[in-house]
Amino acid sequence: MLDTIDQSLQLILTIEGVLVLLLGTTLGIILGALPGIGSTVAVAMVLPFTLTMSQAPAVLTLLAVYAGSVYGGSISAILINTPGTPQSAATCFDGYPMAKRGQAGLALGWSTIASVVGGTVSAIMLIFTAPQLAALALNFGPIEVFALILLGMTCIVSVSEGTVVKGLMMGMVGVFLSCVGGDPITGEVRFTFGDYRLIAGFNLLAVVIGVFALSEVLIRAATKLDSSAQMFDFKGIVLPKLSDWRGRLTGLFKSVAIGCGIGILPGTGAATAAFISYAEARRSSPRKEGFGQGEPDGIIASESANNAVTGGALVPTLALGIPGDAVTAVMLATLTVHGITPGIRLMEENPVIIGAIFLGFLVINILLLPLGALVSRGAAPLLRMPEAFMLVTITVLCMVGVYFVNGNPFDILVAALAGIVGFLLRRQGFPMAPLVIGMVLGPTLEISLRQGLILTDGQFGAFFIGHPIAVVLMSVAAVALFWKPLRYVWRQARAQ
Amino acid sequence: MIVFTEKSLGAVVLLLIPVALLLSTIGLKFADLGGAFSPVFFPRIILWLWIGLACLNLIVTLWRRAPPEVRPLGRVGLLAILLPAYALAIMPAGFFLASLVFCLITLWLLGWTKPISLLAFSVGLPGALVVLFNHWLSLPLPTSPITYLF
Repeated sequence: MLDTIDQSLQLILTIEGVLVLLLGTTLGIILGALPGIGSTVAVAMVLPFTLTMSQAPAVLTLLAVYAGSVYGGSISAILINTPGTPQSAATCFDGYPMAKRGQAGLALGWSTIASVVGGTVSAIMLIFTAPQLAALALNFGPIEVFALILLGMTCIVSVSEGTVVKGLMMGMVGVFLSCVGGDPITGEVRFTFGDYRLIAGFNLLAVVIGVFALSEVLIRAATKLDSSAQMFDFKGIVLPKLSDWRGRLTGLFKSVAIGCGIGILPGTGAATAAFISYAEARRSSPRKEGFGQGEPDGIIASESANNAVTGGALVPTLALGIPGDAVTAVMLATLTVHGITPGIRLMEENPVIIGAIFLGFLVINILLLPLGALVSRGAAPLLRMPEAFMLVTITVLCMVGVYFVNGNPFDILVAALAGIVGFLLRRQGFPMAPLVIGMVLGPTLEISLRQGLILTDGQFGAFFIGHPIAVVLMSVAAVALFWKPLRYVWRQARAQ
Repeated sequence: MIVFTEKSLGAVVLLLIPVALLLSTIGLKFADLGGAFSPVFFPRIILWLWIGLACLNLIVTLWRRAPPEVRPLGRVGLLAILLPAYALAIMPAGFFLASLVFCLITLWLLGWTKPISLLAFSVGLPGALVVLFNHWLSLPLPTSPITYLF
């Protein structure tokens, strides 16, 4: 592929190539920033327009929209505590507190740089190591995935500082909510109590928007608000100074590695990567006590990981023909429509096209910086409106976003009720982040555990035999879970 | 004597919900092979964990005996009724009309009393969204029974 790189470059450096990169990325950022649209809907919306394009521009358009929408989700997560996409939910934890402190522009600056670095590194990784990484992904069976998700679940403890019991309980509520509806293995319907609208389960984004954004609206309404005061003083992206990066680069690249690694595993997704990366950053950051109150390390962890997934997810899609999620499945279909058959021989049979796709993906991720700044600057005047208007706008946008996920009016009702329940729970000191983590990781946790048990004839002990990757991951999870209580008991014992 | 505050009442409700859900799984018949094949195998584990944590939470809540807090819900109570009402009204009344009424009432509840800007915003926001989604992006929001235009 490297031998034909000049031919690949020629494919990108055409008027059509440059235009699709610019327009696709801008459109992706805008669509990603609209709550509820999400990467899958954004890519699906653009798909019909690509059918008349030639091979490389068609795939590049979809890639640009994909990468742009993943980044765009962070804009609404930071500014209005409403993740545009589920993968940006972890960005709310620290992005929104920064915005509330009057540092919305800086929070967006951190998220933009983290997104650009995450996406760029994953693109470079894609160029050089796609076939090798695809082979590595094959070593991850259900038991290894279960161990990985279990490790991700431990971040419930870290985001529930001071309220661990309440946090864990909310985590279980989240996992349970993800169980409602059709059983992923047998297809049997459970916990619907005869209501057909629950057969598809609770929509993740409806619950996320409800418990984060709508409950926030109710909380603000409950306080003595000055309806004419501005909610934010936001003028556009403010890039962090170079000196601010001191001590944060290790965390950034660790998160990128987590994102790339999880991206290559089919069926895990960017939201999982963002939460696992956030948990790891919260464990290892020297500024861990600031997490949840507007610590840039939290934004870096979440945004760099979820953007790094975009490159990682293309590895099994292109090199094995296995789509990792709904977006890459759409991408796979587009490739097939254009006569490109993904699989092990893809790189040998279509080196020029694949080279152009990889290089274009690299350019898209670099374009996120100027285009992200441009889109944010365009949105700035809208965010300077009085608080009462802002709260109403957030509510209406949330309803629109939730409706567009499936076009299902029931989801709107779920979001409204989740908002009220979230408000009541937050009044009693229950953190909402664990509920979302439980809902995001729950389905994969269930499927991998049950598949693992079926493979081992119901012997959970067999998970620890012949699965070194799983043993390592579960050990790390156990340490992460019990380290703090054990250290506390140890210190108490020593003090006495 | 146990004094039921909002917190302790909440803790009891959060215990009763998983107990009721767990009880609802008893006697269910599925066409499965048992064990990990059962559709309720995993949810039951989660519900048991939820019950255990809810018990702990209840004990901690009662143990601390925090003084009863009276935090009036005020206008937020009205908003909490308005939200699901708005959600239910979107389909029959259409997005534009439901949103217009929602914006008017909510802005007034939030203390905005200038009539011109109140009306302009309540018409402008849903109107702009209808134009953007229905007529520009071709992603139709629910329309009213009066006209397909909004």
